[in-house]
Amino acid sequence: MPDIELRGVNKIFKGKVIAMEDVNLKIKHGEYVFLLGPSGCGKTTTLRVISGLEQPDNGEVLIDNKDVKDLLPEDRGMGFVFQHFEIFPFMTVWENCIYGLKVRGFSDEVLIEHGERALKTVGLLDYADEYPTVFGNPGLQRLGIARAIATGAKILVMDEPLGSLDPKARLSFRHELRDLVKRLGLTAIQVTHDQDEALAIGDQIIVMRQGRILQYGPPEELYERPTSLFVANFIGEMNFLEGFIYPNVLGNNYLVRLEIRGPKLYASKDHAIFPDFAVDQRVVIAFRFEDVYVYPQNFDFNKPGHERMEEELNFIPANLYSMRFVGKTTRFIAKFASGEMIQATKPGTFPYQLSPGDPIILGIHPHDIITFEHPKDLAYEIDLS
Amino acid sequence: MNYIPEIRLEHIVKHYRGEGGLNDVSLTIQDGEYFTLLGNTGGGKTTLLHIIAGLVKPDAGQILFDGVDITRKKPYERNLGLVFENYALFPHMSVEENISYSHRVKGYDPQETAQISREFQHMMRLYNREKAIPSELSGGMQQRVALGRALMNMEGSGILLLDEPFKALDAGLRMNLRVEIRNLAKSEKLKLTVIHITNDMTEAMMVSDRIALIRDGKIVQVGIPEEIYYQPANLFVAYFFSDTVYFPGVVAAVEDSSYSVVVAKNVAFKVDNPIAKFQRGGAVVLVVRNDYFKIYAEPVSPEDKDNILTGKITTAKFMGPFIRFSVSLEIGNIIAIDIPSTYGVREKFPAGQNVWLTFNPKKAFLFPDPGEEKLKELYFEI
Amino acid sequence: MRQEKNRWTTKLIAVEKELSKPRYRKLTDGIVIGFFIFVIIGPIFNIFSTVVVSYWEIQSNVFNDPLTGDLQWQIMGTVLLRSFWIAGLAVLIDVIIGLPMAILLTRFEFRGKQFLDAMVDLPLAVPTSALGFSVLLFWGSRFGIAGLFGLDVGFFSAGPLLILITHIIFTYPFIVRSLKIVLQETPKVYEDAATTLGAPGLTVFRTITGPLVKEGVIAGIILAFARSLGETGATIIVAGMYETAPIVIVKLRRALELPAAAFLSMILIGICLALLAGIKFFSRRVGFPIKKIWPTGERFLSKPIFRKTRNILAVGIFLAFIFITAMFILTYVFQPQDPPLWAELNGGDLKWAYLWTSLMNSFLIGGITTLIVMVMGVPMAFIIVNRKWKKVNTLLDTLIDIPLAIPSAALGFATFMFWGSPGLDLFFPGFWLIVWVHVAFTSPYMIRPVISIIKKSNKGLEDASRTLGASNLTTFRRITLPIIKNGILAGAIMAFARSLGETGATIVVMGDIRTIPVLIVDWVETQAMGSAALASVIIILFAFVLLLILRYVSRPRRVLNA
Repeated sequence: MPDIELRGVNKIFKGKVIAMEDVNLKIKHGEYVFLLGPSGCGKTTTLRVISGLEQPDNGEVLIDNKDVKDLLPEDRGMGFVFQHFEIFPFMTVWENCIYGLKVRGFSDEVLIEHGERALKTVGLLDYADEYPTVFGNPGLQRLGIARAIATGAKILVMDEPLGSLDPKARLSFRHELRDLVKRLGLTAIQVTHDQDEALAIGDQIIVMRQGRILQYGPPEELYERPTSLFVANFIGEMNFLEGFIYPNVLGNNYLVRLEIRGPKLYASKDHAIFPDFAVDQRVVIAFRFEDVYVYPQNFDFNKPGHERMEEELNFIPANLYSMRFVGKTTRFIAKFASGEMIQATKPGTFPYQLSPGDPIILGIHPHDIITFEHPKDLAYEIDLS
Repeated sequence: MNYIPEIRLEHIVKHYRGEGGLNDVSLTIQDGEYFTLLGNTGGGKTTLLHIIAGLVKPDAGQILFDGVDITRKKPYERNLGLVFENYALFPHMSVEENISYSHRVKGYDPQETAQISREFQHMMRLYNREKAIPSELSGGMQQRVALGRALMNMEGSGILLLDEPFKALDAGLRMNLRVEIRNLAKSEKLKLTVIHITNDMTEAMMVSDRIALIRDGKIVQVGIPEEIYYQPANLFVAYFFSDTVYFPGVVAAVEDSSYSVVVAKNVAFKVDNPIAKFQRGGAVVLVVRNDYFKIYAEPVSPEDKDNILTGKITTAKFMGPFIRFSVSLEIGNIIAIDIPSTYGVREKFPAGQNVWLTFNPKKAFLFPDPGEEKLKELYFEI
Repeated sequence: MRQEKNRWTTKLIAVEKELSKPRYRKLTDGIVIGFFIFVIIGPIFNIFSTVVVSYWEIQSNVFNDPLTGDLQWQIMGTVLLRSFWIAGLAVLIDVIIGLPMAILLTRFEFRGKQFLDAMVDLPLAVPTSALGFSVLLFWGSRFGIAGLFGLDVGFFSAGPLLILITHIIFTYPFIVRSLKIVLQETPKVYEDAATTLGAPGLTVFRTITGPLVKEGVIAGIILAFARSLGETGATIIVAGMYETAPIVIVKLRRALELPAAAFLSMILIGICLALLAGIKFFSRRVGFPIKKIWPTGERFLSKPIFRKTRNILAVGIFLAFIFITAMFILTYVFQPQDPPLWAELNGGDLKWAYLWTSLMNSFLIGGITTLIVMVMGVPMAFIIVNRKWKKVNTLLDTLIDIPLAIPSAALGFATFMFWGSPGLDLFFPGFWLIVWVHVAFTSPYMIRPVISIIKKSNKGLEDASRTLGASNLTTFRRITLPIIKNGILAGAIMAFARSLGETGATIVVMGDIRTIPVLIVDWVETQAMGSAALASVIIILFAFVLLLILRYVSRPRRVLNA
């Protein structure tokens, strides 16, 4: 079972667009790996270089430690799934499914065995003699997957396979996709711009921006320990506040004085990107929406369940800008006198009555704060494009 | 016009060969409301928008603004602004020319027009891009130009129609823009009724005052987000808004509004105050949103909680704010539930762990059982 | 159903894999490109060199003839000018009456639209010499409209006006067709957006539609202009004593004054090539007139009443003027003749036999031409679309358009000089020379539709096929071909129809062979009206059938998915 590796790969289009810059990655067999990033970051090009549909300008492409640069796509043992399905409209479901086997000249018995197995795996065996026009988009993609795995390919290469589905279908289909990949023991490499998707079903996520790999690791790592502001912002939902390091240090925490009218927060050193910030150094602190506690102004912390909060949390006073119920969560936007906004999300409905304009208290635990060095251009670092 | 009318659609019908038709649609949209038409592709929402805009004539039915029948009026007589899917920015005109187009074709004073156009550009956070042409702009910027163009047409007040405005943009950008667009619509500088079309239920929930769910040319339910989420009118609506867990069963007993539903041998669940009423013996399907479960590592006594399920964790997947547990239940099914990922949750429930799940009888839904075929159709879309 | 026969398929697949290798592709590329260069450029190049070589002869015959001085040159100048103003006027009038029709057919829905659409295409199906004859009868003789008024001669006599009318009629469907295509490719959504922004119809057209379609429109106009410049068959029939450039070329050729004919051909070809080259630069620079907007005036003119009047006028003029004239010949055949048709046909000079042989010739030539053009043209279309050689591709693209822009008589003459005795001496005037000329002319009709359908078809499907293990050739056979086959069929039908109607070049190279269109010309010149009419009717009916098949084959098909 092969590992896939790229070493020092570069690719430039039309003399100036840098699609890949010094890309190094290793995908272990059996892993479900995501190439994640904004439009134009190079993720699709990387996928195409891995699969052989594009040739790199230089660098090595290795499968099972062998250089495959000269191998055609069809000879690399990969199955490809496309965003727009690319189902052959003039062939039946069956003919589509066995196409890969047929053009390689396999015998009838092999065709029937593998074809039926593939269609059964995706639940389309009953539709074998129909034409694909009977399907909606989810059905078409199921057929696309069946067609890719029927050839016995052990590596599934997918370019935004859920991109053409309606959001609800995307949500349920993604788990089916993961189940299928794991059940068949495949290696999966998937391109997406949707971090939600990558977090939900990926084993490893590779975040790219402008041709470079920014960070690479399992979802938890990227989520809880992003190594750059961009990754912090791109994965999950992140608040950012600027400030600088204050002289006092409490235990294992920094004291950060915020630039928004000066409240001071304790931020855990363990979660800082550089554990040795100097006093007065300008920093940016980051914390997730769901890690923000929201309290009405005169909240009684002696209520059961909130005992230790007063001790452990940082508190910032603010005003409620809006509170919206969005089903799984309630979303808050809090505004400061200086005009900046912080967002928070809480699961389910919020038990306290609040109206826009009400004063509230936001609470953040020090170990939920990640501290970064302040970059030259903060806007650029957290720009999602 | 400086005021915005109440919009009433009455019995709108439009037939198309294939999909996208409308089958007797009636709606009322209040002035100043942020109203969303939500539904899957081909369900008829774009058709409805085009009819409201006056680009398409309905086969039957009326459109009334404040009680006045405007079904025959041209688009520009309806004081609305339309942002098309893919924006439809005039490719041969600059940003400035696009945004100010509406005023130029009406012959307004060029000086004033330039001034107003600059104001709208700033409102849309477009700085120093006046002379750029659409192909030079990013997707997000193009969208803002389209919005600016529509708003300037309405001179800041009127009916704003948005046709899947974020569809072409990356997921991360979409989240930010949803917040922005609602803020913009509700800002004091503008007086807008917004009709927003989308197929994304999270988006609908985030931006709307009210949502109308449309399916195959018919309105399925209309209401504020809480209403639709907590009181779905049918199985489709319940399923549409979140991942759900379902148990087919039979009503065993009814007491006041509390139902006891048998879902498996010796296993009955309690449901309080469902929307529909059922008789004893009725075939039903019990639906619970997959984030409504509470999970325990120790046995739970029926005296403390209702609706207890026992099972074993098979897999756990970190999904950011939630952890998705796959639980193999003793009654046979394997269900997937989402639990908020607070500290220690994953350690507390490793794979193989025996767990007890409970759900609140008030938060479960009860619907008539549509049969295995229909259930399969809904949950396993082909 | 699941039983598959696999033995010879396996062998076929192996062969395809071998032939997909790069070296074979280079070979086929070379052959195909070489073929077209030879067939199209060869004759043109030859003409230019002939002129250079025979410079002294031309000097003496054309410019310094001992008897007539530079009369020849003066004549050439005059006829060139005539061809130009006729073409210019015809195209201008066609754009004015054709644009509303094109808009009507692309932006509006109404009952009978498909019918009207087919009717607009119909004059395309009428070979030009038959068209010319129809015009002659309708406007220029007592059998036509003049007869209704009891007149003894036609409204117009053979001459410039009749030529103008003929050119207006046969260029009309070209212009409408190309306007339609350009309008169809411009998404309606921009116009919708402008409408919602308050622009009335006229303003939308001026500020949005106009600029977006201008390049395509100008290209279409220039090609139509060139077509009109070079039309020979119909012009000969209705010209009478009035001569235009292509007529003079034919005349010189018949009189075996080859250097002079070569000279005139060269000038004509040179001008058309310049025009063709000019399209690429010219159309981009031309700004759409006037950025200023007059709101009240334009809003007034956009009122429904003006729109309705415009549409009615467009349809009315088309029906009354163009359609009836083009179709008139069909009714003429059934009018009693003097002498009766039977007598004429079976008279001494065996017209009946001639009719029969010419018909056979036309079909045979058409068939062989179409076959050759299909075999060479389809690969050429792929080369132009797929190969990534930037500059060369634009050149090849222009190469394909050359036969469209060049007057048929001129290219015919050049071909004769190239392949016949003055040149390579491979072919005598006759059957095969006609085939070569037809191949040159019908190539664009085949290649353009195929290029357009390749561009529209989904490259993703081919990617999918290749990632599934199919070699390039297998992918072509199993995936690409089924998708583009309708485009190829459409191209073949258009090429065949073009060949059927080709007159000008055929006259120059035919020797003793006759095709139907040329026969018509012959018979009109010898006043055998009835027979000419019958021949016209036969070929028109056949062309109709082809047109119907073409429309059926080109109707839009359902696409799968997102």
